[in-house]
Amino acid sequence: MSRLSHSEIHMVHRIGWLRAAVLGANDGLVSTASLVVGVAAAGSGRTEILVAGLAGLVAGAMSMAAGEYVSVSSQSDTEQADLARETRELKDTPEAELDELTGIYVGRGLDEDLARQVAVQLTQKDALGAHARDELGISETVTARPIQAAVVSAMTFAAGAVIPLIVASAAPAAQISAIVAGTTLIGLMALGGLGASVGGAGVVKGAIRVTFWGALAMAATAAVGWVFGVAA
Amino acid sequence: MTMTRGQIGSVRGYTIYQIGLHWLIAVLVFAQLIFGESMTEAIEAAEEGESVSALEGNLADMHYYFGIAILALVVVRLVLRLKNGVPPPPPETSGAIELAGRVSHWLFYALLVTVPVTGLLGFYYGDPYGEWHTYAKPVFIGLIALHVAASLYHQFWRKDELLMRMLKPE
Repeated sequence: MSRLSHSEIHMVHRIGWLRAAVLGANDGLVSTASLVVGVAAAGSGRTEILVAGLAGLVAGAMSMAAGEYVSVSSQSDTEQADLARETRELKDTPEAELDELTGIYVGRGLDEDLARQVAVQLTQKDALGAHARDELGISETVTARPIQAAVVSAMTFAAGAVIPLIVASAAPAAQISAIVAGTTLIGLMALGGLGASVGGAGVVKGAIRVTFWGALAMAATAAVGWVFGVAA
Repeated sequence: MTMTRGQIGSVRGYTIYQIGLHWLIAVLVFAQLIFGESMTEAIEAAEEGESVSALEGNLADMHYYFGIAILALVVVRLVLRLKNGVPPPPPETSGAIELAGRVSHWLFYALLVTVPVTGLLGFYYGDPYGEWHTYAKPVFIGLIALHVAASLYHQFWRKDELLMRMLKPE
């Protein structure tokens, strides 16, 4: 029993990680490809395009890392504060906490007596664990690790972002925009399909959704590059 | 003593130095692939007696020094590999897949040595070394694509945690 539930939790944990990786790579691919297409549309040379793209890769990876670090650590702070408050309440007003837990189980469909029985037994085993799980929605396996989250985000972003740069460095100078845009759309279809299949959603729908937004992003930056390139 | 440790099957993972060198060399190689054309531009301009922009010149310098750095680092890496060995392939890997893995890894080492060397020879003595050096780019890109695809296949389809070996030290 405990073995089964553990491996299920593990699975959910890993799928969450994979989805985050796919999304990070997706972000890196779309934003760097858009940057490359935009700078190329402005009529820049290959070297300028590549420098802009590399700067975009570094900026994006750092910003993803910073964003993820802040978001995960503030979530962690909130969880810690919630747990501290809950610990205090359990110590100061154990009866009220028992009533609260009973109320939660009644709300989930148990009758009053059974709910009370469940609440009493869970409280005896691990009062804080029961409240954390059922009142706050914090389970032990989802403990936040901000540094790890930051590094993973930066690395997955960079992994996606390096693709358009390599393509731009290898493509004939006159066709950089077109070839980068084309390979990016293919990459987005693959990532969109992968992300959807990992999340258990429809592969085609996922691929189309991601590809549509990627195409829109590249069209927008190409328009900016073209307008300012002509104006300059 | 060193030999037994160096044999496949006697180690569980990569050391932090092996992992660090792998990713450092990876970053340097990506930079070389992305900005390698600047060296071509600079050399062509020099042959024509023209000059290149300061940016192009700096990137060509970077290509030169990064190449030397890669050559030096890969020597350290090979020494560490012979000394520490590598972890065995994941269980239930077929003979063909294992062979493909070994061949592609040694192909990487061969490229990481010969490409900087032909680059340096090309820089000082010109063709045919310089010409050989430029063929390395598509070969490297193809091999990296294969390497990345294989590691993702192992990590996410086979779910044997292969990718984690290059992220978490032994």
